[in-house]
Amino acid sequence: MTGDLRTAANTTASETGSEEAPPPRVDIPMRIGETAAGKKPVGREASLDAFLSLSVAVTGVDEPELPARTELTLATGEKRPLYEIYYERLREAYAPELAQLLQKWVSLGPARADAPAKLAAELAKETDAALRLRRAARQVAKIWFLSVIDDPQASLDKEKATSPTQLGGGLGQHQLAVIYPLMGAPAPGYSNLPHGYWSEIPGHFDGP
Amino acid sequence: MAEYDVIMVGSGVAGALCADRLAAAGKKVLILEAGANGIGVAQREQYRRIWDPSPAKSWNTPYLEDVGRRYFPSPATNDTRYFDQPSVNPDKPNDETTSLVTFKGYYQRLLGGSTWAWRGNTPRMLPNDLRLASAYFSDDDFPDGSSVADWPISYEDLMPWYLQAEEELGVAGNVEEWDELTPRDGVPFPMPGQPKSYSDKLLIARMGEISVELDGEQLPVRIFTVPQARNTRFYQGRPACEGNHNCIPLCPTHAKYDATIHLRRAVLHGAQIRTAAVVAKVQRSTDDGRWVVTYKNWRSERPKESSETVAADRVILAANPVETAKILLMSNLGGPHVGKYLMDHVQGEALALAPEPIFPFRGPQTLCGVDTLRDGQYRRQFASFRLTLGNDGWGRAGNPTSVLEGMLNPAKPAEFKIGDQLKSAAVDRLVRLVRIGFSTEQLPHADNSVTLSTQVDELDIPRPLIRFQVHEYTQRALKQGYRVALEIFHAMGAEPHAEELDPDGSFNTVKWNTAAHPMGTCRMGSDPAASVVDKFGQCHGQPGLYVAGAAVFPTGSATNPALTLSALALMTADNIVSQAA
Repeated sequence: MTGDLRTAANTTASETGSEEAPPPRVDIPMRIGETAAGKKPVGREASLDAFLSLSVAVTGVDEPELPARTELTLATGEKRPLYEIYYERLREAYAPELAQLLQKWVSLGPARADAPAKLAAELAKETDAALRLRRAARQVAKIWFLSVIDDPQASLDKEKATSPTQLGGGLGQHQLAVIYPLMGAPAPGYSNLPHGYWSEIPGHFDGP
Repeated sequence: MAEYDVIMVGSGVAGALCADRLAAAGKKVLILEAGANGIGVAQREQYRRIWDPSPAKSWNTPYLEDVGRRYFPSPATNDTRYFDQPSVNPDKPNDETTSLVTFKGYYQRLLGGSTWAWRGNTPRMLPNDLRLASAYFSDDDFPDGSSVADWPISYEDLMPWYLQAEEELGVAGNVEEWDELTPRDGVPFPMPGQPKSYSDKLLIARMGEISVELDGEQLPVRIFTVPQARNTRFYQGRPACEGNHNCIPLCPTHAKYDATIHLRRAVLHGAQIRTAAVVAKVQRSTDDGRWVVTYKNWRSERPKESSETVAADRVILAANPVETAKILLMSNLGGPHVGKYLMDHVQGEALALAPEPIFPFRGPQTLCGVDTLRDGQYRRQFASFRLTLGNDGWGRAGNPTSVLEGMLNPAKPAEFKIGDQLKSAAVDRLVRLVRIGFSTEQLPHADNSVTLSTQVDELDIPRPLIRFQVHEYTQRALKQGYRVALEIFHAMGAEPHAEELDPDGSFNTVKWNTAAHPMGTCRMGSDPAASVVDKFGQCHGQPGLYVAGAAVFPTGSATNPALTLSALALMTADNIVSQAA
């Protein structure tokens, strides 16, 4: 689903001429590049912020270590930070699940110190709703750790949870897969290290 | 019809080495290749750009988009639709003991052949590997009805060409580790061996000096750096390995040898290359006795109907054992043994968790192995085998993707992890994965064969019909390999991962795989009644028609074939040059 999830236009009391409280504002995920009346879309920014904090919570990797703001050049020549690219990829393949997960995450109060633990508790529930949340959380984790996500059309192996097919991103994303530096290894194909480095413990390995 | 001194069919390492040496000696050489890729830096970069965003990253990922691929199909692992492979032996349909298994060997039909995606291991055969029949089966009572035969050359005969092949490929190895096992008169390798990985060093220190008993004989278990065609210093215009951990499927820096190196040299020496050329027939002209090669050009307007010919004094078939056998069979050449004795290295693996981080996934995908068990009296009872220490976690069974996916199973809420818990658990597991692979020798059996299927490919060329079995002599070696791997794990304090085992705890031999080292099908020998080619690769009774590559191996040993087939290819080329002289 790639639809533009717009709801009815937000209105204010001054526009309606009424003294009634304005209808609740809904943050609408918008396509990258879309604006509302030429201004930076608040809804999109909020969603992206939520996605970024969600990514930290799901991966356990602090934002400075996530290559979230590393800019990649798209096929159009446009430069985008990685977290925006990943957000769009996930919306493309898992729009409803991602929206539900983001909504849940926002409702827990992302700025709260206990938000990640609460999210983990929500994901552990044995309900259909939690199952959908887990599916989305899995994709958030995979995209950051591995730069790939499951093909939404494919079924997972129930025991091993392997996916028969996966979706990759564009050039440059594999190189930024976070699992490799966490292991003390370069991403395959992207060693910037000298000959023989593998003989010693990785210097920057902090342990699991 | 254009004419040449030599036509080389196939451009993998055997074809490339041979063509380069012949062209350098002044021969007019034409290389015919089914594929149509490039052999320069730009091609490598294009392959890398295909591979980079692909989620699959398997051994053939970079090559799947090659134009014209439908016309030169290559079998892929577990997707061998190109091969015609019955599961029931058509000659013995009611005999379950002769049921066939899927031949899992695969190869590339590209300029440069399978060396684009090989691992780069280049150990030599042992002296007894070339005289297996006389060393261990003097009464000709060969196991499982096999047809073991000594090579018509000895290890000592081959030694000068082994040394040359190591220079040509750029082999890095440690003479002090290998001079006793594979004698080299103390001659150093062209480059020192790869630095051992942290995990290799840890294992060596923990293991100490252990030995294992094999059929009543105690043999030492020693871990050596495997000789590899992978630079440890700047060599012949290519850099030292930087540990990209991507040997299979593609070395991004060209530190690993591939046959494009000798193809480029051959061209500089005057050789010509025609791509998109799938050979369908070889025959001797009745007019002048020259060899005429007929091929289909899949770039023509009507590939199926195309038929182009080219003639030469000599033809060398170096298209890998399956395709070379097919060409001879289609041409009705080579005698009754063509296509027989197909072999590969049948493999298994043992997996474990190390007691502490050992940091796999760094550096070349493997570096060290155990080769001190490859020979012994036990070879009367079961096959030769060697062990490889994986530097790649658990390979397909345990890698970043599979480990993370296992911790993110939506169907198992209680086990589903996120956050610090996920990160810590995943990293802790990944840095402790250790794998030991074991590779066994397969004896030559007439029934393991390549013949012509009635099914055809997109060019109306018969597909290969494969018949293949893994016999008990090899299966017993798989069990021994697993047993030795467990002893190594025990010595290092690693916790074996419970694989599917037989009830007695031994390796379940249906879990084998192959190394993609097809061998045999055109074996060499002194007796024309029992072999296809002589010791120089020339077909018996067919002067000027040669076979190069692993197709000529009478036996396969337990070790990688690349260096041996390279040495033989150089020997063939030198023989041709000396004949002309």
